[in-house]
Amino acid sequence: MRPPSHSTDTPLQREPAVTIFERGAPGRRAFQCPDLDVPDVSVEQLLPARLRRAEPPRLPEASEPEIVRHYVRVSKRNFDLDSGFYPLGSCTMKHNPRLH
Amino acid sequence: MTTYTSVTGNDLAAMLAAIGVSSVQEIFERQIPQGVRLERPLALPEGMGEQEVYEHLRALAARNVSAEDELCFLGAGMYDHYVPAIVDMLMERSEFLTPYTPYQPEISQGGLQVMFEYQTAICELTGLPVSNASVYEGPSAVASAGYLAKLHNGRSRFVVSAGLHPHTLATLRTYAHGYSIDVVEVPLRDGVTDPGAWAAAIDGDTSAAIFAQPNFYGAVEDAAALSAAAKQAGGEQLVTIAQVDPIVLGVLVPPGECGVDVAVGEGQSLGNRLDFGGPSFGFFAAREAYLRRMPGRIAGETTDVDGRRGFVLTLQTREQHIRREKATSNICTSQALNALAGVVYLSWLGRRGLVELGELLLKRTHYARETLGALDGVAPLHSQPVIREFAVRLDADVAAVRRRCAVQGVNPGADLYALTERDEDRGGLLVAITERRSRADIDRLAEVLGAAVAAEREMAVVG
Repeated sequence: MRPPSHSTDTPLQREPAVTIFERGAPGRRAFQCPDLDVPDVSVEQLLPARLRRAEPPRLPEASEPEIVRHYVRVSKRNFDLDSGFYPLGSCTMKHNPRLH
Repeated sequence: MTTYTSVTGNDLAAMLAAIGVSSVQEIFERQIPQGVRLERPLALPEGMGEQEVYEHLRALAARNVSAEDELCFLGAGMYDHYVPAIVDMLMERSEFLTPYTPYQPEISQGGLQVMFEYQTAICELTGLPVSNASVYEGPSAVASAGYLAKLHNGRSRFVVSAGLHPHTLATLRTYAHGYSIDVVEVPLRDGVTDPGAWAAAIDGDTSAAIFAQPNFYGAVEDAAALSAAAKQAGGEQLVTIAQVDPIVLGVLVPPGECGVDVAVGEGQSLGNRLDFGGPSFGFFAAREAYLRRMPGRIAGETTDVDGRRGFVLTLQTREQHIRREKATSNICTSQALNALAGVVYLSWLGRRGLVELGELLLKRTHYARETLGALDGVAPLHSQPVIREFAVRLDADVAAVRRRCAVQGVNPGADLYALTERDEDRGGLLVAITERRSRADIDRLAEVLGAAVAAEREMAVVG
C-alpha cells in the first residue's frame, strides 16, 4: 500500500524538484558590485598567494527573476501554519501575532 | 495583546464539558497542590491592542540609533552588509515563515529543499564535503565543534587562539566546563596566532586546536600553517577547527583546502541584517569522517516511492529527539528562515559576485587602514593582511573619542578593550568596512576621528 501523497495537489507540486544550482546559466547574475572608488592596489599585493582562493566557489549563476521564481516555486511545496492547522509542536500550537 | 487568546465563552464551555470539569480554576486545583499555587493574578499590566503595541514599539525603537542613521564602522562580529530586496520578499512568504519543523517530508518538500541547497552552498564556500542545516549562531557553533572533537577522540584539552572573538571564547569555556575539558589560550604576535606558542601548547592530550579566520583583530591567519602544526604536534586524531567569516571566502583559500577538519562560523553577514544582534544563524561544515558526530539537522536527497527526487532529514539518530543521552548536541532546531536568507543572498551574489565583493572589501579596507594610519595619534595595531576589518591603536581615550565622533554622527568602530578586557588592547579600535561604506564615508571617518583624537590629546596635555 502506498501512503497517501499530500505533495501532489497542484501541477506545480508535481514538477520534478530542481535546485537553484541547476537553474540559470554560466555567467548569468543578479548582483552588481559597487564601483571601486579607492586606488586599485592589486589583490596579489594585498594578499599573499598562499592565502588566496584559486577557484571561485561554485555558487549559483542566475538572474534575479530566476532566483525569485525558483524560491516561490519551492515555497509552494511546503505546508505552513498560514494555510492550516499543524497539530505538532508547542511552538506551532499557539497564536503568533503578525505584528512582530 | 488582548486578542492573543481567541477562545469565546461558548468555546470554553464546550471544552470544559468535554473534559468534565466545571471551571478553568478547577483544572488548576486538581493538578497543582495548594501549597505551590500562586492564588493571585500575575502582576502584569493590561493587554494592549495591536495599534497600541505598534506605537509602544515605535517609541522604544526611536530611542536607538540604527546603522541607517549614522555613519557606522562597527563590526566585531555583526556586519552592516547590504541585504537585497528579494531576501525580504522571500522570507515573508507564509510557506517559509510559518511551517513547522519538517518531520513529515511529504508536506515539507519546500523547506527541506531549501536546507539542502543551503548545505550545498556552505560546502562550496568552505571546501568541505558535509554541512548541517545551520545552528543558532557563530559562538555556539564553535562550542559545538569542540564537543564534536571531544566525542571523536576523548581527549582532555582545547588549545585556542587568542584571536577568537571574546564572546566565542566565553561560550567555548562555558561548554567546555560542562564536559570537563581544559581550555588553553595561545597569545597573538603581531596580530596573528604566535606559531611557536601554538605548536608548544599542543600535544597528545589536545582534543581540538581552534582558531579564527580572519581573527578578531581583522588579521588573516596562515590557516594552512596553523592546521599543519596542530596535526604534527597533536597527531591525526586531533581535530582542527576554524571559525571562518563566510563573506570573505570568495578571496580567501577555503578551510577545506588548508587542513581544517571542521569549519564553523556566524552567518549574519550572508543576507541577515544587524537586527539588534539577532536572530541570525551559525554554519557548520566538516570532513566526512565527522558526519555522524555533527550536531543539528541535516537534509539529504532521496527518491520517493514513485522514483521522484525528494528531500528528507537524514541521520536523525544523532539528534536528541531520537537518542537523548547519546545525542551529538542538544541543538534540536536549525535557523531555517535565517539560513534561507543566507542561501538566497548567496544565489543573488552568485559565483562571481562573491569574489568581486571580497575584492572590493579587501581594497577598501586596505585604503581605510592606510588613511587612518596616516592620522596623528592613530597607528595600525598590526601589519598583517586584512580584508573587511582592522584594528588601530589611538593615542587617546577610546571611549571619549567615540563620544566625540558620535556627536558628528559617526560611529568609528568598537572599543577593543571593552570587549576583550586584555591590557594590551587598551587604546584599540576595531574598524569594519562593508560595501555600504564608500571612499567618501571612509574619508569622512578619517576627518572626524582625526579631529576627535587631536582634541582628546590636547585635553590630556592641558589636564
